[in-house]
Amino acid sequence: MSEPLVEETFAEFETAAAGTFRPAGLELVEHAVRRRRRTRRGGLGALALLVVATPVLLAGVSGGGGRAPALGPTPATVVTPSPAHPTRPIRVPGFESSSAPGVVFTDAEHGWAVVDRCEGRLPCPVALAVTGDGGRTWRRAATPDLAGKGIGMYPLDGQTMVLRVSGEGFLLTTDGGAHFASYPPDQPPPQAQLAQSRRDGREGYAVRCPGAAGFDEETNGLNCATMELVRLGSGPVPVQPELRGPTTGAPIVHRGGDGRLWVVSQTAPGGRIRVQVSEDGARSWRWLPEVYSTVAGSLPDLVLSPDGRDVWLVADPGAVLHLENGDWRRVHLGLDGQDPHLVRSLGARGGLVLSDTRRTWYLTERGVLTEVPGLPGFTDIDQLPDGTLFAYGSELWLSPGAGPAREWIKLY
Amino acid sequence: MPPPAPPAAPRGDPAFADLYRSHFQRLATQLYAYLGDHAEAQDLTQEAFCRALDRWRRISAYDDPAAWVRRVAWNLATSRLRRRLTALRHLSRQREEHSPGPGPDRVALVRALAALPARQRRAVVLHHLGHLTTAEIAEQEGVAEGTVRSWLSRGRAALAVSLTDPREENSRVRAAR
Repeated sequence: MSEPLVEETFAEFETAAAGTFRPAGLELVEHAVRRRRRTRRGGLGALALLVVATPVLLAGVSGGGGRAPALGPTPATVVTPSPAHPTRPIRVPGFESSSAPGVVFTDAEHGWAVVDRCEGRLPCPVALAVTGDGGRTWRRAATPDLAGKGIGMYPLDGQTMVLRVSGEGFLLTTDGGAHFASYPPDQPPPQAQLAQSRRDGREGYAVRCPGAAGFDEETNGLNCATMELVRLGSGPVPVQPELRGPTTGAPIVHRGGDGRLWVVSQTAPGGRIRVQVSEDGARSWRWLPEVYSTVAGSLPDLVLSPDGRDVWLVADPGAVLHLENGDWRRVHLGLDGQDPHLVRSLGARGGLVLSDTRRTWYLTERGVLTEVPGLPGFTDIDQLPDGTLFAYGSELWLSPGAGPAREWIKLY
Repeated sequence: MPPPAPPAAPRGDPAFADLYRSHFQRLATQLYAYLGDHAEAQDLTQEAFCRALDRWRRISAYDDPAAWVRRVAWNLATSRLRRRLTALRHLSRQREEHSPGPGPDRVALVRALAALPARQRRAVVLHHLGHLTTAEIAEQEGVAEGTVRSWLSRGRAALAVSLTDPREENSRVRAAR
């Protein structure tokens, strides 16, 4: 082959290969960055990529101080045949999309999508679509013209959605996209903050500096000596948890489905992490035993089941802590060098779903680790209030159900 | 207290959206050619753009934000390759590919590129897929422009040999007679 033919080969390669790469929707990238900022993850953070695929092994499960293991001690991997996962491609009648849409779901049935059609025409036409049947069908919302505009989505549920239109302000619908009201850039509708808090697992609450009321409080309002926990719309909670200390990023607040409030903070140098819990609407706080986290540069993720009863802390790569009778029990995942960067609850019956950028596993309440056949790894997984998992990376999957007996539906 | 957090990128910044839309596939294709691993190229490109968005207020002021993303992506890829070679894990990797698999032609080029020394391979990919000039590659790699020209020359010559299918060459000769 001559060198000019080498040039030709590269041109053919470029043409053929480029279309095989599918960037995650912009909305999802923004969400991943927001989550990364919130937890101040270092290195590759939420998109931790420095892992390789190796066989899955379940190591023994050991408790601190020689205590009995919290989960079933028998190492076990389960091999199941690869199922044919159903697919529900996102098709909006009358609007053929030219690229991967930005999609968010608020529960198993209700979701929103921003689709665009860029075929050399500028500005690119953009449409908002909504589904009420788990993505089986989509209909176009009656938005004002969005062509060429940067759009951020803040969905509260299937009826209420706030669009942030870059440089212009906000659009709010409370009737499933039939009508929209406009808000200026400095006056986001309260539904936007509530939607953001719900997606972050802190339903109606935020940690921020006194007096801060801005929209992006989790990234813009945290530069003060003493932060406070506020209930959105009503101000500081009756009794503040301890929020001071040499923190690695701002303390993280969660609200469980049972109403309990949880605050994760670093209260001393050297990876010493404390978790506070309130069971009476922030009228009193109780400290849980201190734990040590080796996750550099960030606070560990607290993972709650949808009903709020099952509580986990992701304090070390390759291990998780399970809250049992007021104490933390360490559970080694034993993934042979792989460190799943995503840990989410499997549902009300307990257990976890774990993911790196290659694969996804279940860790059941009985301590059995199972690789989920046919499923990739993910950039992030949203755990929706009804227990549905909404997972995304280069692909987009919706998983309604509970425990490991759940369905995985590929959206794209 | 931690140092003040840098200001957040504005949500849905059209400039970032344009950059993301127009450069993602091109950059992922370059990394695929360099690493020979489709999924890894996708992931690293995604990571580079996430980092860009995280710092967008600063990066958007640069003359060429795309160059920043490209440099980050290539640094990630180089680092990844070094780690992979050190661990020799690549020999046993059996990665699932979730995107449409590469066709025979693409596999042939990726294989041929994989046989080149890493720096030659980087130069060839940056030139032929990144469409960078020798001066731009020299700046990115921190070497003299003449060195890049040498890498390109040797790399292209090696590729020309590797990509030659003897049967195809014979048929071409016969057709010419």
